[in-house]
Amino acid sequence: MRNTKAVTWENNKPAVVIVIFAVIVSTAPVVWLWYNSLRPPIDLISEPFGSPRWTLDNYTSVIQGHTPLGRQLLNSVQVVAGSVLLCLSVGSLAAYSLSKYPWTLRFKTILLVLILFIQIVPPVVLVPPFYTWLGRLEMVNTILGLILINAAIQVPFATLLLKIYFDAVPSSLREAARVDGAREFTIFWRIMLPLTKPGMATACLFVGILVWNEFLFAVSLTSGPSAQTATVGIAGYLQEHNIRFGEMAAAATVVSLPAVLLVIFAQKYVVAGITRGAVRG
Amino acid sequence: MDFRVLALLPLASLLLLLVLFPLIELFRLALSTVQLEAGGLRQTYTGMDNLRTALGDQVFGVALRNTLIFVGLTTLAQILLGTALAVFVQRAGRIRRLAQSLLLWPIVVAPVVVSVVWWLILNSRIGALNAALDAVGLPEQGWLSSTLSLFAVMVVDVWHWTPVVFLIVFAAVQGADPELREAALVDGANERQVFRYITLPQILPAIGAAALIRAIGGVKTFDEVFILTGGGPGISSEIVSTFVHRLYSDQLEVGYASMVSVFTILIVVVFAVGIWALRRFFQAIGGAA
Repeated sequence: MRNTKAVTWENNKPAVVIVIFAVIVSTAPVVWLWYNSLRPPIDLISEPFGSPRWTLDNYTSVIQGHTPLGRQLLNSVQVVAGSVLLCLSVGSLAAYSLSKYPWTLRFKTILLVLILFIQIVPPVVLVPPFYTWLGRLEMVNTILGLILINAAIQVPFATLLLKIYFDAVPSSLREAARVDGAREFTIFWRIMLPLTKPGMATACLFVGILVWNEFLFAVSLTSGPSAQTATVGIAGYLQEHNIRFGEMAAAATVVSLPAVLLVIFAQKYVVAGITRGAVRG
Repeated sequence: MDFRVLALLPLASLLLLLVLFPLIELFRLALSTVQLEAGGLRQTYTGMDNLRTALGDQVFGVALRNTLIFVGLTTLAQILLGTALAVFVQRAGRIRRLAQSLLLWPIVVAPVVVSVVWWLILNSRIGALNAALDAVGLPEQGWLSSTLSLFAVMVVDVWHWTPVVFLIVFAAVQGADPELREAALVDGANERQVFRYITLPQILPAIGAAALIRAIGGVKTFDEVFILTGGGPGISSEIVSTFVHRLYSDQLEVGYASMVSVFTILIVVVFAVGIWALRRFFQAIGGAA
């Protein structure tokens, strides 16, 4: 069985050539960015396709320069950590409740429609009302404000994803624990949650990448380096009159690396997040 | 209180406070004229004034048309390329896993970084593409600074999101029954026939889901267009999202921007409900047959 499958599916030379071409198209632009961050900016003009020399100057100018990338990276890390934490705790509790308790079908449908509705609203339209709302809560230009907004935007996806994993855990485990006298929260925290670890990892990774990459809310709801994130800093390079493209490439490389490393070391979870989310959507 | 309610409460309050209320606020803003004053914003209820402005606004018309072109063509291109890629990767034997991993790169890279990457390739001053064209004797183009700009950001979008379609369809291809395929091959069907009559029907639901996801994602597109062209030059690559952003951030037309937003949401909802109803309809027919 396994043998015949190998014969019919594998070793198709034209397919291999096409796939290698597609892989090059997908990765080369990113590698081009990394390469440009490692050569003198002047070479982009004089030697467009390759430099005779390598340099780390772009990175040292980013560190010493007047762009507060260090601060922005730190802000990004805080926003990501806060949003992920909030999303996973709120999302897992809600997913557990929806998966393991008897809610009426109508209630579930209303909630699902609401969640799907949030998924299809273009984020740009939410900026003015978010601005006035954060203004009322005195949270414009704060890290906490960005955490709340990002968590609210991502929590529907996290909840739906985690519900799939809770659905797969047999309810008999819960009955057994209840007979033993465990309290409801203990059952959730000690028995059910540990069984959805792959789901938690996937949700964590996804919310983390999406918030790390987020630009629109970060640029619209902050006004200075105190809460600005790294994506805002990078976009700032392109708004300058004389673009410092060497430094820009170096800063963009730094922001691109965590995501690419995650794909390399956690491919399984990235794939699960996209395909499982798609099945639901 | 019941644990089942307690567990749902944080989600409910987060969505209520940060999504539902802002949306209600959006509808309220859409029906008013908003002015900046010393103490902050002042709203005056002006009813349907903003709607009248929107319906007579030619720039909005261009933005809608560009959005339609952008969403339609990028979705189509991504579906065709992503599906082809899924079929080819499945046949790529030993490099299958490595290829899947490398093809994921564009998805996880931040749109802002994608913009920088493509700016380094497309800009007319130091762009690699123009340098390459120059080297082979072809004329240089202002990819981001001429009427080609809408096409250029569409290419960037296709590069960025084709891998999502690939992943979803690839999962379906891997889940397809290999015995059906083998039986057809043994019976003398050629590869093309096998794809058309055996594989395609099995992966069609996945292709449909991927198309819906990308169409919705297309309407949401903002970062790359905003950073690479800003909707320009002029309004040649203006899409609805950059138009809305321009209205409230540059022109401070918050009330009008909100009306355009409400209008856009309604279009997307009608579109999504339409697709859903269509799917239901086809499922009903399929069930009856």
